[in-house]
Amino acid sequence: MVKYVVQRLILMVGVVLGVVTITFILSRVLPSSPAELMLGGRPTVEQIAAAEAEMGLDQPLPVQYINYVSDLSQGEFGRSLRTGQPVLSEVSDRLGATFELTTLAIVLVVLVGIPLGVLSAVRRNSMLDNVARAIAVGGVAIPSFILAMALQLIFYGALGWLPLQGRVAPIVSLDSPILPITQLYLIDALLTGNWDGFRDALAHIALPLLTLVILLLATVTRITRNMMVEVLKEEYIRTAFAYGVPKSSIYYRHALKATLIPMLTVIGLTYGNLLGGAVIVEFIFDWPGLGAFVVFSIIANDYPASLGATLFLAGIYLSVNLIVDLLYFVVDPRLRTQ
Amino acid sequence: MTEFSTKPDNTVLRASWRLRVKAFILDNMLFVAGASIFFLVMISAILAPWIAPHSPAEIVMSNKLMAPGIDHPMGTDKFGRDIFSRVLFGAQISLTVGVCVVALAVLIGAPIGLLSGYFGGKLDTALMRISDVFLAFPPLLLPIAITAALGPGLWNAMIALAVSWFPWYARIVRGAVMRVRKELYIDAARTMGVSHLRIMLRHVTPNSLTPVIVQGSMDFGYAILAAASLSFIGLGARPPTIEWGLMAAAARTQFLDQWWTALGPGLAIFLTVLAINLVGDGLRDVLDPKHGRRE
Repeated sequence: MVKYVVQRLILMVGVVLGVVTITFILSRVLPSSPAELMLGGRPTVEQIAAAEAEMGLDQPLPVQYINYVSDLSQGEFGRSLRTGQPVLSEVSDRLGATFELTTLAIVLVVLVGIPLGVLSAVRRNSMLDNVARAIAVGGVAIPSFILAMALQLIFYGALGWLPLQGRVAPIVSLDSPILPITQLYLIDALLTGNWDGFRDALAHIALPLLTLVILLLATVTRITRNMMVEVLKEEYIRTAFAYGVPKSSIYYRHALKATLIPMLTVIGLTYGNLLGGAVIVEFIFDWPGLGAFVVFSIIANDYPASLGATLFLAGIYLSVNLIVDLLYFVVDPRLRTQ
Repeated sequence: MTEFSTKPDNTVLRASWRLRVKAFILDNMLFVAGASIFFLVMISAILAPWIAPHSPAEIVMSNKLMAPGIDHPMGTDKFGRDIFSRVLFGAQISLTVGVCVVALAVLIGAPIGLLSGYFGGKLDTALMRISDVFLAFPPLLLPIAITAALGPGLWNAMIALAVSWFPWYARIVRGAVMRVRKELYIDAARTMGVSHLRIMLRHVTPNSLTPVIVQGSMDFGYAILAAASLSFIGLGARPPTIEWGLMAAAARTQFLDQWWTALGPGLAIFLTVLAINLVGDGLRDVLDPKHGRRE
């Protein structure tokens, strides 16, 4: 087991190096020179050359690459061209918003999707199963931005129940500001007993959250169902039925357990989809997270910021998958002895 | 003619043929529905210049933001352009994008998978590790980063999507190749002096076609979705190109009051991708024996 974990970590270092290599290449194939972008306006040739020398861009590419990697390893992500602030601090300011949104989404997707999948598998070909199948087929065909706009139209435009966008209303941040402790507004508001803040934060997160959950619920439900159907065919399940073990115990204790390993993999992949989907969803709902930051940085031609945030999002995704891999040992005791 | 005539009874045959078509349609209702919608989308893309009721690009400010009606089935946008006509023309772009992205991804991925699976060893490890890196990004994030670096535009968006998705094809082809590589007939061909290249192209490639077709049919729809998303955030198609994602982005400023400006392109994307997915599901059932029928 220790050997496997070490191997897995070494592999991870390799992948991270690969990811960094890709962002390095991307930062050098930009149509306009980075130095020109940094100077802005219409710099003279001498100014560009001076800036390039200062930024180390006159060095040979391999040297630039080594500098890039060593900078990153020291947490030096460069400075945003737009604000002049270190990218690292810009990114960490927005990490909480993305983390809050995607984590709540994955929790909801798992809490709703897995029982729904189990129910679908148990009542195969029932009305519920067919509805779930129709949603699964249709769900993956909805563009996230259209779904987001439809929800805005219904809950903001027609019903007026929820705010259009943002993370907290300006009036609330003036009257009863949420004191940042964990950067997760819902938790911060609760911790400080700020009920107005909590209600407002909840209203703001509802629509982006709903969008992400609807987008991914169908897939998780479908995969759970198909795995359960396979497991329910196993002989030990039939035996359990023969022994008169209560049905709910068979479904949730015996059968569901057998699907845990593939389920973990699915959850890991779903989290990746969430992070990717968050880019579009945060952009539409003006949610101040990493995803929207990537898009706005790209629009502003701020490549250190967009690539820095991209690296961070890839890093989160890789960490989640590492955790998933390590959880295999927790879930399946057989793996520990191998 | 006696009653023991050997002449085949055509009426029975014809009836059974008709029955079989009927049974096929009943058994594969979703596939048939998907195929019909897809056929319709394809026809509207091809015939758009002839069947569109209005010019898709003509700006008629006096007609701006008209609700759906007889003259404008999907209403008009803020420049008074007929949304239905624009949706028809948009089909051309989206279908082309889908085909190009999948074709490019296969063109990059298949040779890598072929080399990797056929030769194995260090080459295999190296190629697969490199491919893995492309999968380390959350979906859609890598295409966004690549398009940003190459500069916004439809072609760059397509290249970015293909570059982000090729590892899937590399993996599929590699798996298929590894299955057939150890077959006796491959050894036989080698002993007879057939070159590696010829073996790969003549004997190994056909065996990996089925999984590639299945994956490609699914990715076709996702490519349309992803390209529309890229256009929506301003990285894909640019005006005056008529593209569904771009139309939805333009609708953002007024869809709360004029909902139809977003409905037309949204419905078009949804129905097209849905149809493609249904066809893809059907193809998988037919072509992939391991996947089996749904129960």
